[in-house]
Amino acid sequence: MFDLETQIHSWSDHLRAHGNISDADIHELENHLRDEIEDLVAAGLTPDESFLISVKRLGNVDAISHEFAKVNTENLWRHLLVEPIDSLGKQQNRRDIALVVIFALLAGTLFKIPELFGLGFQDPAAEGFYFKNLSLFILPFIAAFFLIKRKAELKNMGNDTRDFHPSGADYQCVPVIISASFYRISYQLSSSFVFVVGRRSSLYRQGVAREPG
Amino acid sequence: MNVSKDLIAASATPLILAILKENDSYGYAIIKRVKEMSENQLIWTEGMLYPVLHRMEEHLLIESYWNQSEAGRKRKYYRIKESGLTELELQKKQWEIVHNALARTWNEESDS
Repeated sequence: MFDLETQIHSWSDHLRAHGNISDADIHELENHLRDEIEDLVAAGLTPDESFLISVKRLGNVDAISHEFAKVNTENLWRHLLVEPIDSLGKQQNRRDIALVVIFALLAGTLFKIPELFGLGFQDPAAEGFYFKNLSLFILPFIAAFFLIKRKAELKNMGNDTRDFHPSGADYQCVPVIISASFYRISYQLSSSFVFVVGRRSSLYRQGVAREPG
Repeated sequence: MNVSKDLIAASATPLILAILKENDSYGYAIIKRVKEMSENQLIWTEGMLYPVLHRMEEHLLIESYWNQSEAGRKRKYYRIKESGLTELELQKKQWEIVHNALARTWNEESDS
């Protein structure tokens, strides 16, 4: 049994949930929808037919909220002439760039840590050390970057639970990749620690051995 | 024939002002009136009308109030303000300039 009231309510709820539209505006649009439905019913259509046609005429929710969002912008003309830009994607891009910069700085800092242990980058003693442990310096940040990026994407997906996402399988393999990279990091960490300590003690021993001679 | 998007956008304000000068109205009725006056040539969408209305309200050309409709529903009506009437006169003059210029050049074309 078709219940017009319920349908109209679920329509306005949907609008409320998906667009940046104020309650007064939603009320106004809902009234518009009702006017349209009334006219169609008066013209001889059944309520469910009228509802479907009216909703369709009002346009999809995204388009409506997009149009409403324009009111607050400076220049309506520009928006009418130029295709809308994906602001969400832009925002995400900006965040990604900020993350990359931060992680690059962190990686640079990490790169300097061996110097504290006397292994300067241009130190002949440290020859090969940086190259061998390159993945230790860089990999954790790449992993962290992807972790954060994927998490954000998963969250965005969660907002739209009604849409079935066929690419869900892609996301299931992400934890595997991440845990694999962490195994590698922990392996690298321990082995490089051993390497540094061993190298120092051997240097020390060499020094001791050379001194008397 | 489809009127271009630019032209629809440009003519929206003067049309709304002219309709509201006749009497107070609401979104749905304005769309119907425009359709009627343009002999079905100008079909406005809701997504376009309401933002324009809200923008005009922001610019103090019109004001809105909630009122009970015949069916007992609360409805948002728009009323033209003093500055809206001035704006309408201004727009009328501007459109007349454009219209006259176009009419003259088109007449010269047909004359020669």
